[in-house]
Amino acid sequence: MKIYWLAIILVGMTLNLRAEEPAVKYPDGCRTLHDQVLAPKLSDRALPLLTGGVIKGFRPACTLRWSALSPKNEPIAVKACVGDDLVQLENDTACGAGTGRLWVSRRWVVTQSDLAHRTNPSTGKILCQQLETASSAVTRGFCIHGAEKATQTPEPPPKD
Amino acid sequence: MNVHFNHGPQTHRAPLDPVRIITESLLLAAVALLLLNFHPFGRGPNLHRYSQDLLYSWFGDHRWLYPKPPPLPARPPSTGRVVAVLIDEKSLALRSASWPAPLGFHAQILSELGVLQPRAIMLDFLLIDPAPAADSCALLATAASLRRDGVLLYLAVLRAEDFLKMADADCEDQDAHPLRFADVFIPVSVHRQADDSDFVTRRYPFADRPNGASSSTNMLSAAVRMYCDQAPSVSNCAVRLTRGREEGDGFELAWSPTGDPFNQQWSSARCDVKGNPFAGSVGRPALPLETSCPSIATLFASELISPSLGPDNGDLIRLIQGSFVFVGGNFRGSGDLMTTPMHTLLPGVYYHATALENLLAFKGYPKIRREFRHPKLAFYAFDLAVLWVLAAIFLVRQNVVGESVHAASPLSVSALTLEWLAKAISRVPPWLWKGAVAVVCLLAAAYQVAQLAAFIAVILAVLAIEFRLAVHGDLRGRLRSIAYYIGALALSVLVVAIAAAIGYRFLALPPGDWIGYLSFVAFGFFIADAAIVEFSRQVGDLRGHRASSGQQP
Repeated sequence: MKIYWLAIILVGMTLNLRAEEPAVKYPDGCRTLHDQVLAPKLSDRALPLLTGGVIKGFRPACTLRWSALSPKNEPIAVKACVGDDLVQLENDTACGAGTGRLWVSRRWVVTQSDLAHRTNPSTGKILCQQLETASSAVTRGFCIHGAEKATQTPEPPPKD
Repeated sequence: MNVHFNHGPQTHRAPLDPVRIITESLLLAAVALLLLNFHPFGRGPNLHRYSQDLLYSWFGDHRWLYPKPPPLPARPPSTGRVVAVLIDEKSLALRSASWPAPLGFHAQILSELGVLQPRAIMLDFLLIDPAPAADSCALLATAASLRRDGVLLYLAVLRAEDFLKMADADCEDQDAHPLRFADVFIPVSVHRQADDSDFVTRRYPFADRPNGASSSTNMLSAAVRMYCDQAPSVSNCAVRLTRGREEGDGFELAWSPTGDPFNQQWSSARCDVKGNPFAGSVGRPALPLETSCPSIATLFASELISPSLGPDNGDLIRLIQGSFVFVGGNFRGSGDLMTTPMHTLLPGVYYHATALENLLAFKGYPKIRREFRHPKLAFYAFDLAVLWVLAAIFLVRQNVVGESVHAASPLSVSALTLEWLAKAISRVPPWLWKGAVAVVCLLAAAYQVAQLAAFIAVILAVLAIEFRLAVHGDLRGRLRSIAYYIGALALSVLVVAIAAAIGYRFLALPPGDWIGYLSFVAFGFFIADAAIVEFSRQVGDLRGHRASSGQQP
């Protein structure tokens, strides 16, 4: 029986099979289904691209202008996302080989879902933002009552 | 029982003699200078520093005291704006990281900040934890990219050796050139200074200079290095600020009570609170008010990372582009906290940010205490000169008023009134009036409202008695004396204002070093009758008597 397992492992190593890191999808923020990156938000600046993933951690891969990322100025498909922040592009070569699919923050790009939901970052909600001047440690995630502060009510998504 | 009162002190008043005024006022000023700096057992109490704290909390938002750079510029790039970026657990969680912040996370923050094109970034983290080679290389590659774009990068270290020992993990850039920490980061010292007596952080060191080390081995403090790197002549700035300095020397930090308007978007405390001497002193403790909204524009890293939390890109560019960015930690229980004149506790990154803002505000000439100045004697001589002028004003007034019974203190109770009061009180048994005074004092001590009421009642009663008893000539003499008193007081306040302006603006002395002049103005009239002056007059009389009788002086 053991010989079969050994054979499977050897074949796997030969074919360089790798387990894909699971993309974390949150139903409230991540809108990956058929989503696309359409353009940069700041056309005159390079995009900071990341490599890695949730388990291994993220790290910068390179910075590229949109023209280098999409020479024909075509939309780039979004393959996954982390929260409402990072989106994974269908591009694993722009920063060289071996980076895996690249990630970029929604802060720097316009996505199709952003347009559809008319997301306006400035109307978001700020939660428990305060200086940590307590000298004693408390439970992680502890949030002082009343520190939660809503700036403006986000616009409701348009009804289809 | 007859009560005899001596109507006024029998003081000896010579005619107005300029030489005598000059010499006697010098004598007075010298004694006053000694009293103001009388600390025979080491450093004195921090009373002047508390006064300085109050001054900053009242007027720190006025440009004459602290000309800090204006808030958010209308158009980028910013010139001389200082911004703090705080990394907290929320921001780490957004990128699936946890404390201690991994190098890969720092690299991401640098990369995202790079888009906003700051002038310089200081990483206020001690990168002493072992890190995977991939993370180290990612940080170095990101840093190298920023350096190519002209962004200066500074890294916090406690000792120069720590930086030299940093593992470079054999990293290479895209062109296979080796990447080393020393090539992309500028090491800066992040030592802190606090006053010994109350542990409040008021000073900022120029450099970290180990005991016995030469000045060439100095590692400049973060704010000093960052300021001097952008100053027109780099070497001169650093040399000027550190020449002749000894270990422990530092410059004074000015503080503003008003929060930066940018912080209002996250701060639950109001950021537009202005310093107010009356609100700060009436009905409140005489210590500076705590302000929860920092005066440094602050961006939380989570707001930078997540567009749904933070400001839009236009606001971020206006904030960061061309700015000096300090990236620091904001972790509960981390211990990287300090006490400032206006904050019980504040994350340590604000120390360096405030220091750089001071250097920018004062154009590289921060306020430095006399005790750290060279030659020290010259600055004390300036004090003596100011006190000399003040003492001369008091003595001239005293001579002009002359033999008047109110010459010494025009606001004191007259002998007639004292006599009337004594006669009135003598009609009641001693135990009764002494007991009544004790009860009034007890009530006043226990109830603060009673203090003010008792004070006003006593003043009104004494005034009524004074006017009832005063003869016409005496009243006129008293009013004349009070007029001279107020005139001398106004003139001395003017002299103090000029001296403070010279001391603050041109000699770069912090308020704590010239605020004592005001106490001399307040008590100068009592000092003018100091025993040393009377003694000098006795000596002068004796000398004159000898001369007139043909003896050798």
